[in-house]
Amino acid sequence: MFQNVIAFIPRCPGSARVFLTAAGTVSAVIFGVSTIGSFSAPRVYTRTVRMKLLPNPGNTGEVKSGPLAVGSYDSRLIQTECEVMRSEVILAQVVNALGSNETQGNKQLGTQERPDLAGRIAQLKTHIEVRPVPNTNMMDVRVRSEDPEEAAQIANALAETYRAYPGKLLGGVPALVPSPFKAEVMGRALTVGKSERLKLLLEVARHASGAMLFGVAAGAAAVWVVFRRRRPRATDVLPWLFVIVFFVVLGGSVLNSQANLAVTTAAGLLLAFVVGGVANWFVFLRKRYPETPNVFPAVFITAFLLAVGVGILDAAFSAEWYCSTARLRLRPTVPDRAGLATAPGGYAVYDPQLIKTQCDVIRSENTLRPVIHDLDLNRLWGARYSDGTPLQTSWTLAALRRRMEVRRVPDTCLIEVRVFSEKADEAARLANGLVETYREHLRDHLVAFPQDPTAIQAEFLDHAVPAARAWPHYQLAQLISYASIGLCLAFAAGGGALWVASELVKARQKASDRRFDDKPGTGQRPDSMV
Amino acid sequence: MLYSAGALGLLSYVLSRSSRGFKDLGLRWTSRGVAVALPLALGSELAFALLAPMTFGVAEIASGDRPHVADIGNYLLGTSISMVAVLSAILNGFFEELIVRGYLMTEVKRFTGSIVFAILCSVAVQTSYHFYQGGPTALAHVGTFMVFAVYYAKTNRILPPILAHAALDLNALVMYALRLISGA
Repeated sequence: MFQNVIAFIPRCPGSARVFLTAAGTVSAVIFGVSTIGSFSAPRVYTRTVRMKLLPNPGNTGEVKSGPLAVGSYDSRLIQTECEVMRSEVILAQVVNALGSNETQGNKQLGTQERPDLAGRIAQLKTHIEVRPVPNTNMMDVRVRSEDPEEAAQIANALAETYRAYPGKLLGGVPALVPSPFKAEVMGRALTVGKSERLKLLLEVARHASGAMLFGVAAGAAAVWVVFRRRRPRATDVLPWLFVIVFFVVLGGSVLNSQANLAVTTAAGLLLAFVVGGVANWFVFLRKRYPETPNVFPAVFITAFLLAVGVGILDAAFSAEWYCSTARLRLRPTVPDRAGLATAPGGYAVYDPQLIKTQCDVIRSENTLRPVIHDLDLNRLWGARYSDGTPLQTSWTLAALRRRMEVRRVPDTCLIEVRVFSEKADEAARLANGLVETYREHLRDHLVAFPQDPTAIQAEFLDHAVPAARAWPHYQLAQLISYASIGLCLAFAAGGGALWVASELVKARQKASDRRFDDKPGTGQRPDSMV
Repeated sequence: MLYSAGALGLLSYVLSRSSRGFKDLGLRWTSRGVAVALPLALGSELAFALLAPMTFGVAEIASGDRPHVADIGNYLLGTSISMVAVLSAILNGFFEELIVRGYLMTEVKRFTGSIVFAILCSVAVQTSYHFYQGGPTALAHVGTFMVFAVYYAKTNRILPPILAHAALDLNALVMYALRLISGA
């Protein structure tokens, strides 16, 4: 298919020159602008602390067979600890420790205002990255900041806080088993970076790659425009447009350091596929039905734009949805859980079936009913969605279940409770209420059966906080749905209109042929036969 | 990805042993084939969207409870999306359509002479290994697979179903990524 693009250049003398000129110019301009912009922006420094998880000598039962037995490592444990490191229980302590000095607090992460604790934690989270070191019991804590000293200070504070963190227990229940591991800090983050020059070179290389991709797209577009009179072969349209659209999207994502290259590649492929495919249909049907060349494109574009327009209006005027997430960690309560271990050296709390069961418990009526009662949802939602009379609990239960998601954080023993609502504070209160009620159940069970080997504890890692802005995915997903429906409608409407138009043309042609035949002296009937 | 590539390699070997190739299953690269894939993808998505409320409704009546919708993105992709996931989504289109559509339908048609039976076999096999997504979702996929199978039976061209399948997988990946990026 793409040989059409490559074969076009030798087929059209001069096209190579046009391509190179356009590609070179655009690449140079984009490279220059993006590099200047990048160098004039404040530099961001990254500081790293490496931490190692070691078997805890205090927990004799787990040292030999636990997840950190000598010579083994457990990726689920490391993944869980990476999530814990970025959780509120650790970050709140770090924020408090760093913010004790007012000047220091104001300087943190370049903010002049002093937001509340939740805001500062959210802000801090965006500057932190915690990654497991592959095939080891270690993890890297990376902190980015415009001030290298500040980055190192936060990284060291994080490591120290995590190392000293004992775990947040449920009150009034038997003590948690001693942690099977202890954390060790492998050297402190230094304020002087080692690889700043290398990072600069990588930055320049990224700009050059992005500029080149844009250049290829611009070159292809220039050849397409300059040689437009030779272009209209239906087979050429799709590959050319595919190359142009895909390279523009890819170039944009390479230049944007925050973009996920994999996701933008997938989005670029889809967009290029849709644009190229639609253009191919336009050209193909134009050639197939020369008597009605503009019917399909006109109806298609109108129907598509109408659907997208309705989608934009719907997204703009429909209620905004807010999403709040609370996270908890499952922990064992009784040391001897060997019988429940799912794999050699594994923990029962990592058992997918156990976690799924706990997710179902959170979704169950036993957990939802107290939350509905405590937050007075029957009355509140009755006033909002009905005529003011309180709703039946069964209706509220069903509505609440539709608005919540409970799932395992992959490869960890963490559970995430996510709630959606038209009101930001309601979503947060519901998520927190669900987790608290679930923990109450666990506490009641532990008090009643302190030696139950199947009992577990749940540690509240992250409280749900009211979202600052509406959930963007909801509106984006809504728009994408409208665009997909628009494409379906556009194909149906365009195809239907083309069929009707071509039938009309045929009928008119037949009628005119008949008139032509009936006219004396002009018909096909040979006079010689008379 | 290795699994898909290995299976495709095995299919290539099996075909070569009977002096055939992917071309004999209808794999030809043309712009037309790519363009046809677009309405095919939309049609199959529409079939899924029409069938899903029915399968979920039947499941709700049968079980007396609202069926749980599995978080497939979470299960397949986890918390981050890498380039391997994108390549895997593209390769999956080739893997499923060449083996379960192209090869299976061609062979069943050859042995039984029945196109309808070939379509039913292909749809049944493909649905069977989607039950990990939950019963109602897997059964809703019957619409998607039926559209692909009927198209292949009518035209004997496999490129459009392959690309349509890859496009649907990529679309699901992008939608899941949007969910992750939005912090949910």
